[in-house]
Amino acid sequence: MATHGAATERPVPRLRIQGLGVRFGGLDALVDVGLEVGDGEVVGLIGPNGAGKTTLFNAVCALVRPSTGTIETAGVPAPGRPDRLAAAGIARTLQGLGVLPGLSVLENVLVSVLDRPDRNGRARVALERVGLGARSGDPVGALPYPEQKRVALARALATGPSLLLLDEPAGGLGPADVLDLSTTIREVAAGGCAVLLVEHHVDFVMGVCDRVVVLDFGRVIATGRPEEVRRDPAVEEAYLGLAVDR
Amino acid sequence: MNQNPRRIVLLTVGGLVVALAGTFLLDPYRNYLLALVAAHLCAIAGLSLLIGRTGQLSLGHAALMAAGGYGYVAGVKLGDGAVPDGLQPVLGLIVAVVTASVVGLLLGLAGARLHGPYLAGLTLAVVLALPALTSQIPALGGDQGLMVPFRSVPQALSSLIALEQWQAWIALTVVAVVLGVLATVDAGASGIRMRAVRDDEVAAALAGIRPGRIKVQAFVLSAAAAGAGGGVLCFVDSGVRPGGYGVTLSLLLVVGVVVGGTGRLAGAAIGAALVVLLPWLIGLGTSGLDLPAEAAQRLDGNLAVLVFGLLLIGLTVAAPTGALGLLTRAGASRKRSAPSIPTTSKD
Repeated sequence: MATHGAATERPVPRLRIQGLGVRFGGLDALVDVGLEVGDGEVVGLIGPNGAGKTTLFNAVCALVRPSTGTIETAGVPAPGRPDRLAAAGIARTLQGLGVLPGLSVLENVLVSVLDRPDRNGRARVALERVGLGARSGDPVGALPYPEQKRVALARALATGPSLLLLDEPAGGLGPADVLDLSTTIREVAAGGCAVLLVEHHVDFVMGVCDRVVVLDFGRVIATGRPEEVRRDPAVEEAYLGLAVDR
Repeated sequence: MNQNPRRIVLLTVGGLVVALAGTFLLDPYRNYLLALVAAHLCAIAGLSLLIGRTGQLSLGHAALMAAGGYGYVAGVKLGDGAVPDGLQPVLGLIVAVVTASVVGLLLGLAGARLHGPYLAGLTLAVVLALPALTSQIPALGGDQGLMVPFRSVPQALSSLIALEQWQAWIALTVVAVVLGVLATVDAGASGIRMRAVRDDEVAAALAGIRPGRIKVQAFVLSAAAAGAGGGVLCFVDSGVRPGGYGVTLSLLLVVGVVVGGTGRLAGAAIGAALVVLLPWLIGLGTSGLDLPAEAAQRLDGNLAVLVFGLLLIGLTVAAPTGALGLLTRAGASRKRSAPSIPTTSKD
């Protein structure tokens, strides 16, 4: 893990966001947002629709330009272009499926490691990891929805990321698939990868995350361990009340 | 299209040998037509890759073929006295490809920032501007274009083959190289990158791909193929005339892509054959009818365009994957419906 030198023992977080603001015209999508994710840590980002969760991901991935604040990965500014993320050890899945429908299962994963040595081996290992090794030659559209989501996850994992951003990874999945996903995420984190995930599935978030950050109207309204956040009245009022009562 | 490079080389070389041998079965005029098909195939295959693999629609490939034609003339003039006579067409073809690639690079750089109809509009504007450009630049020869010295059959082959067969040989060799290169690119990492960009630019970028760069590369590759086609046409016709590279040709190239099946190189061959041979076949058909001179004059050229339009509409409705897709489906369904051969007898 990288450190700031001898002056401090505190490890540099894999992702550090400070004072982040994003404006769309007259709308403040994010206001003074700060959060950190350390190596091997799983952090959940939750909040109602429109809270700014995906916008925060887009800012980290250089898909939107922040109006204020800084985003650092391992102590250095995050890449300014999305195509440089993979080389910097950052991988992200997209909301929804995020697969490339014109490519086969294997090609969907290969696409993220085309410039790396033993690209076929890497892609196959990633597919095995999500349980799709036997489907590598199939058109990705021939797979059921949950398996297509696993393909997108395999594409992210194939790069061997040190920071993994998952945008609603459990969306549309059944209980068994959510359990598998939780196991995979914990395994990835156990390997030292920092994981930041956006998710509406509260039980999944509370079960898999070490810490949870809650956004509402573009601002952080709570942060802490899952059980602390769950009991936070402000969070319950803004978001969790409905979800927990479900 | 996903094949390994060795298989592609074998297929290309094998196909070329068969095609070269096949020219002995054709009369001179049909060999001339074959050379024209090969020239158009270069452009249609490149365009098919561009549209099918990156989703970029170009209506300006006729202008890129013209750039290849002018490049061929420049290359031949460049080589005049500097290289042996026999090598001048080779130099001409190289300069044709380079010239079209440079024009393609400029168009691609602009086009990478445009999507869908805007890129189509930009490339269409280039084709529309071609006559004005050639008339304003004296070096391009105005409406008359530029001529190159007539190339006869090399001495060693003159007793064996006719001029048209020699032209067909050159055209077939060029198209084999073009198809081989396109198929290799398509089957490799670049092909995956192109399809990724076509499917989802954001997902592709997050996977480490630069969508703009890939689009430009595809455009340059496609332009190079069109330039090779333009160079071959110039070689066959001993010159380049801007009037032959207008909007009609550009649209016919797109028709050739759609008819053959977008993104299918083998389908491009069907499209190219149709683009070259259909007007000829229609001409043969109408000449057999006892039409008044005025009606025959009106039909000349126009009927072919009408038939192309109808064919395009019909094929788009009946076979959206093109003629090759239709043939593939027909073959698959015949296999499925074929009666199974019993392996054991009840007796």
